[in-house]
Amino acid sequence: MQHLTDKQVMLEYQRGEAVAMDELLRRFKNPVYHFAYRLSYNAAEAQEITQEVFLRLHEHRANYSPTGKFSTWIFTIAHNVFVSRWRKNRRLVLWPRKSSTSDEPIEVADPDPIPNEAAQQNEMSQIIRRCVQTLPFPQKEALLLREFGQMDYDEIATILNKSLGTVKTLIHRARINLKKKLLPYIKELGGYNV
Amino acid sequence: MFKRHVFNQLSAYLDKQLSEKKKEKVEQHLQECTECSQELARLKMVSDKLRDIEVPDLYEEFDSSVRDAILRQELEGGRVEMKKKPLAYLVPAGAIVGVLVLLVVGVNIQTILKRSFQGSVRTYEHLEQSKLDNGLLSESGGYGWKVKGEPFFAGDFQGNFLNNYSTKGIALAGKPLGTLGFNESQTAMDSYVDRTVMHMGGATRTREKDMRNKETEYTYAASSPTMALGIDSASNGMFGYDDWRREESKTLSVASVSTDVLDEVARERIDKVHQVRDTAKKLASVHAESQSGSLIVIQPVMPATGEGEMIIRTGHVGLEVEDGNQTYQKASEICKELGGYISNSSFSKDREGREIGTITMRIPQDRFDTALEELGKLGKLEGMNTSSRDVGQEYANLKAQLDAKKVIYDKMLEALNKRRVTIPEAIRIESQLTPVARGIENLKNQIEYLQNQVSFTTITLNFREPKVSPKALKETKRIIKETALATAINTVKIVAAAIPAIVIIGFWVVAIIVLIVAVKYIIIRLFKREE
Repeated sequence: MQHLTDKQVMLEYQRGEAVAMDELLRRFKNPVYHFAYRLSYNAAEAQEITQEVFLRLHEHRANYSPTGKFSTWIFTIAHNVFVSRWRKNRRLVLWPRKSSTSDEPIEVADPDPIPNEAAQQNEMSQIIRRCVQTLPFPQKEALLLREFGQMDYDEIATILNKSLGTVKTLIHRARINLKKKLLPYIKELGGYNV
Repeated sequence: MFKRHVFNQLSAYLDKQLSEKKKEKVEQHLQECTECSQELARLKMVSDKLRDIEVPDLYEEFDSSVRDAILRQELEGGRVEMKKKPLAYLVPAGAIVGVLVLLVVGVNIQTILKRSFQGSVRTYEHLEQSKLDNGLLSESGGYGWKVKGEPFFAGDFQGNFLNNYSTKGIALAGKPLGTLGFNESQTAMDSYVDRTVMHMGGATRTREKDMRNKETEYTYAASSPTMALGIDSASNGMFGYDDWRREESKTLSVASVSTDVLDEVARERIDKVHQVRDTAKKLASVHAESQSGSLIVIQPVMPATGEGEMIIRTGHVGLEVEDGNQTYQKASEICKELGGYISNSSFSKDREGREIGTITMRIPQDRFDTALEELGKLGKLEGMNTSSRDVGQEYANLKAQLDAKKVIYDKMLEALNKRRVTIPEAIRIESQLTPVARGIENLKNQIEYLQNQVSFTTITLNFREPKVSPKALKETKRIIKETALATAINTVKIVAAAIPAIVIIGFWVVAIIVLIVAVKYIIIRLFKREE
């Protein structure tokens, strides 16, 4: 089964080949999981989401038609799972106290004056994580699909159910935002903190 | 040469998502523009940094857990389709319904409320009206009240129930609850210039002139149960309220109706007295005619009682009774049965609400002892005494004097008629005749008085309720009960009046809540879309 394409494996599974699920899991559990993790920065939630994605895949296997790429289909499912969970968990907030797109630098503890390499690495990863988290959800989602899923813009547009232009703008804005937020922390970008 | 920067294209360029044409353009620009090159480098740096984030590994049993979940799902026969949140439908629907109800009911509810308030106002007006109809409004702010169809009670705001005489009332917190009243006419007459009071077998007739010399006649019952009713109306007049002075007929109508029957009885009795007197007159004139020319002293005619003895008897009975009012009625009955009449009575309540009464009755001579015996049975006898005075001699003397005077009178009259008298003579005789005539009338009156005193004995009945009167207790209980009832009714009325207000407030609160929720929902929707 390893020589089959993603589409073919899925079609096998559609026909009732239970072993195909193993192959699908082998191929897609990590991309989906990574995507979920980077969106939520919560391992437990990411695992739950990944499981949910595969459950939905099983549930809606009959609806699959091999028109586009399989990865597009599975990430669409992931996107939907994420959105539905987000809707379920969100609280009713009438007037958010702070805009999530705030340009204020993220408060981080003062770095050690003489940090060792590992600590510095860890620190940096924390900062980036926080910066990514402050991005608006659609920007974050689009950027992550691009950066880690290596997807084309039109694929992302299909997954997010948005136009190509929107996706392009989303990704661009995400990068600009991120750059602005990271600016004070990164030497190469002309920063001064680190 | 100036060229447009390509910042907006850089991200797509980085991701190799540009068309060939655009890609060439961007590359060309980048060679010339350091700014854009730097920006590209920065964006690339951001992408690189992003990849630095480590992702923890999935747990090893992940595959099997997915397979288990799928198996479980298969066994359960598929998951239930996730329903859309009911709130998503309910909130806008609720808002629409709320607004509609608001429009429809909001207008009508005012009318409903208005109507209910009108209802209560009408009731109040009606009460006010009935108060005016039944009440005896006077200068002092009198009050009339009708309780459970009983004759209305009267009183004023101070709790002085209409008069200072014998009517007593009960007042609680400045509100009259009721009064019981009996009144004897004489006391009420004081403010009048001229008056005549006659007692006629249970009924009292008064004729009086007021300050404007206007004569009015009243008749009302002293012993009948209608007394209480009559009093209200009569007292209104009796006590000289302005109100009455202007409208006398008002007072008369009530009183005359209640005493028609009693009048009848009284008239019969008076007729009898007249008969006796006429007989005596005839006898006297016969004697006078037969013995003309000489002064003859006529023997006194035996009194109309025919008993032969002229004894004035009086009796006094003191009683302690359970119920004063009842005693009064029973005594009246006894009096009537024995052919007597009540000449005077008073009935009052002391501070503790105990009833105290005095009845003076006139009983025919032959039934004096029976009357005493019967009256003594009405309650706990506390005392009884009788006295008698023989007026036989006195009577005989008076009679003799009368006859003598009559003879003199007749003779003088004869002389005046027969002889030819000169004018001065005639004047002299006339002047002597007048005192004689006056003397005759005087004697006649005295004789009549004695006759009356003898033929009708006088019995005074005094009665009072015991210190702790069961009736007073009962009365107190009744007042408490009525007050409690009134309070309860008022409470219910207030609550009932408040219900529309509560309903309308509740309605608006619900409507506002619905609106707030709807607005909140809409705002959230808008926020979400913006995101």
